[in-house]
Amino acid sequence: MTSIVTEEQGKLVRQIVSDLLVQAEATATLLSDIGGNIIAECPGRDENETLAALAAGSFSATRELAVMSGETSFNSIFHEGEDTSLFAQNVAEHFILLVIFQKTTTLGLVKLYTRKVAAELESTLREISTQCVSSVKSGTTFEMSGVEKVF
Amino acid sequence: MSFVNFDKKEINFKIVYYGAPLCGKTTNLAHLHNAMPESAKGELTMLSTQQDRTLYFDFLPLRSTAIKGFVSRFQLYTVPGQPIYNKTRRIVLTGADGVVFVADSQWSQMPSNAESLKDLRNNLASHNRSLNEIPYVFQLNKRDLDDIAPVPYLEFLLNHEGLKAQCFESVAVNGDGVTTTLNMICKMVMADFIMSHEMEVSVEKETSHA
Repeated sequence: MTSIVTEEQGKLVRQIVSDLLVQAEATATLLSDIGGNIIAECPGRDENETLAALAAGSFSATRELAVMSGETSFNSIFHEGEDTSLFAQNVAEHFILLVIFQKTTTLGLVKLYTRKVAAELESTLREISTQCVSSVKSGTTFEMSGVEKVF
Repeated sequence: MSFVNFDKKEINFKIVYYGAPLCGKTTNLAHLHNAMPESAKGELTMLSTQQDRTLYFDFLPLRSTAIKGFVSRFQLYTVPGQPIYNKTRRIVLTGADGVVFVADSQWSQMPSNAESLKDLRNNLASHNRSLNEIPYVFQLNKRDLDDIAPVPYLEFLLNHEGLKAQCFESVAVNGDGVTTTLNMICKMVMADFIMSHEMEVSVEKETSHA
């Protein structure tokens, strides 16, 4: 089944992800699904697509590690750097909220706001993970642009 | 699985390059990264060992306007070919919308090709999926080498079950056949997406009329 995000849901999560950037005093915030598809990002940057794919890969590997350690899953991962660190939180099972921050803010603050925002996003993300195009955008048709080559 | 974002007017597709160790999966992505215009590509990311063997995956995001009104984003992944990384291959295969199976044409690599195809079928089965239900193509690589199997032999070995898939000859190190393979799998993935959506809509209509 194809997952979809409607304009309304997109607008809502964009606002929440953008607010998190300010609250956690972060450099970048990114919400993606566990397949690495970006739903909202602040600020928009070219490297976000790769960042989301790597975070999704990292979470998948972490899940396997959890299972092998006798846990069902690890809900968050933290990578600490000299100047820049990264905190990622699993939300509503199928999504990842990623926060990149400098040493000018603290992990405690980042964790506090990320988990608060994760709770706020929960119901919308559960809707996103279960809806399909025909049920929420019934009039939509998709058509190829008729080009001979895609690339 | 494909992902439609109406807010960003984007559709994402995931394509996985699968195949035996050293068959040319990473070389395909490296060539595509060099060949694509800046406007169509993102960064090529390789998660490799110190010996330049793929450890987790390679990742190349591409974009086009092949579906009207949307930006189509194609996320290309490779899997690590070495046998010990089977769990990683299974993870990377999750949610794939299409598969390119890269076969090494050298006679000596026939057992590895057959083993890798079996491994692909098993890993898809672990996700409750099968090759019959997702778009896939074969790329017969290294056609420039001396000791290679003829195309009909490779087709017989790899492509004799169920619906026959399309095969493309290639020399990935110099780019021959690489973009042709990509264009075909992208078209198949988009056609599959559009058809699935149309079926979904007709089921929805039937249900609401009942």
